[in-house]
Amino acid sequence: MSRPTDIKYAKTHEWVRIEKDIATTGISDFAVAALSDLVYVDMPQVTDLLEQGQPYAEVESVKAVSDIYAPLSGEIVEVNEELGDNLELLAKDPFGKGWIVKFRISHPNEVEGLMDAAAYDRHCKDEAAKH
Amino acid sequence: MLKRTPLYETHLGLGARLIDFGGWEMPVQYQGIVEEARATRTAVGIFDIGHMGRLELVGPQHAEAADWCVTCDVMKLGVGRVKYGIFATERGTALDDVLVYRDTDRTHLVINAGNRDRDRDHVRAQIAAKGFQAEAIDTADPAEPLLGKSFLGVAQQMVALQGPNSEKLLQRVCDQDLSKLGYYRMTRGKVLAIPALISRTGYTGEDGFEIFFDRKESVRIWDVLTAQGRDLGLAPVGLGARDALRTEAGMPLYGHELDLETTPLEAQLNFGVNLDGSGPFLGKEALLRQRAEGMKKLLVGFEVDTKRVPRNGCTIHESGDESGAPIGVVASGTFSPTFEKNIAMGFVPPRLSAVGSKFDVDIRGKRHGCVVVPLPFYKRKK
Repeated sequence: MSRPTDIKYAKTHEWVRIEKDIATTGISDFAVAALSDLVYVDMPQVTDLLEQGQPYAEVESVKAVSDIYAPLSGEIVEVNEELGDNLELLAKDPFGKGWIVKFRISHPNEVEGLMDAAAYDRHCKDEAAKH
Repeated sequence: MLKRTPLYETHLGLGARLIDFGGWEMPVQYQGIVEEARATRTAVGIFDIGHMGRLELVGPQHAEAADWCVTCDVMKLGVGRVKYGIFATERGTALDDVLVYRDTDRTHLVINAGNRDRDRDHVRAQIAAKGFQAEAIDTADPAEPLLGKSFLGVAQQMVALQGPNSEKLLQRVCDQDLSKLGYYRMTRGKVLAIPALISRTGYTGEDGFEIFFDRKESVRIWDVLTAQGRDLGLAPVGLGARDALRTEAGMPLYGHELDLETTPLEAQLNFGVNLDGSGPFLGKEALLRQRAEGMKKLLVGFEVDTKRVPRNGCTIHESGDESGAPIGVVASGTFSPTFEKNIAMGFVPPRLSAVGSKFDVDIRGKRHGCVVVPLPFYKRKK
């Protein structure tokens, strides 16, 4: 899969798409493949606050639970209700219909710490080589 | 440096994801845990269990030595039979859990990967202390000097076939009539004309076999079984699915349901503890005392009212108690691929051990209601 170039990526394998002051975030194809056998995402609520680098949701696989981290700080304005009953969206369309939350960005300059698609591709290759 | 079984390269070739399990680099999954668990429940799975330890007790008192070290009654175990038991400490707590195989002139013990060295040293120390005329051969160790005295004469590998199609598959390459080999029975035989020990045992709750043979034949046996099993729906199965399957079957995993602070009575493994027989065994007095005085904790199966999974180490609390100290702990918990819901086992005070009892579990800071259900979660139809 070639990854979208209009979005930014975090080292912890979240992505974020920014449209003015609203951002949409989810987890990457790499994260979905690494977690495998996903069974549940414990979603946050609208108005919950996100802090860059801090967990805001968790994803359960058969084997383990993993945190999902906020790529930027902000306040949640919408959660993906469709995901709850249809976790396959994460595998089928991680950068589209598999989005997790939308939030209002509070610290726009935080985006400077994120990677573009090319840098993220390299990051994934490095991580894959470690295993 | 992690240890590897002779099938390491085979797993890599199959695209397995590898993890550290008890010091061994083992496949946790190939195609995916859910798919592998379903293949085992509906068809047949093949498992590399070469990481598990094996001890072979030989000498005139092989059975007496095993009987002293293990909580189950080895003396009454007929030749060709297999039984589950525990290596207990003097305090009655578990050093390991073990399958005991009563062979004609020797006793085989199958032990856990993470406890291999400790178990071997323990059994040898007990043999020496009690003066049994017996020797313990570590048949899983290629460097073992006593291998020449073992049944196969060489270091062993083990694979398991588990699932309803196991017998059909193994029969294609085995010289024994497997329809006559009952559950928890063992036989010597040949697989692909290679000498082997075959038992109708496993760690999934399914029908199936565990096969011991010369470790140098590992790849050949694995490849032939895999090829022969293709039309029977065979899948290679990793430790991830194995853990989910054994949890569904209510089977203990050392380090979770059993450890040095837990007795087999607390883990509800009374069927593997011969307290009412006359023979002594290590830990018996402590276990008799515990049975008379009563247990402080008991293992139960339970379900939880959330899709979040209670996992090993999550604390258990009184129903509705938001601030008090824990009254128990989760031993194992997983999403069940067979039932498509969460299942868990944990230790609770005996007053909360009856089916229907309620308590709360703390999953990463949030409390969720639980109800005790009967164990095992999964029982195959015979």
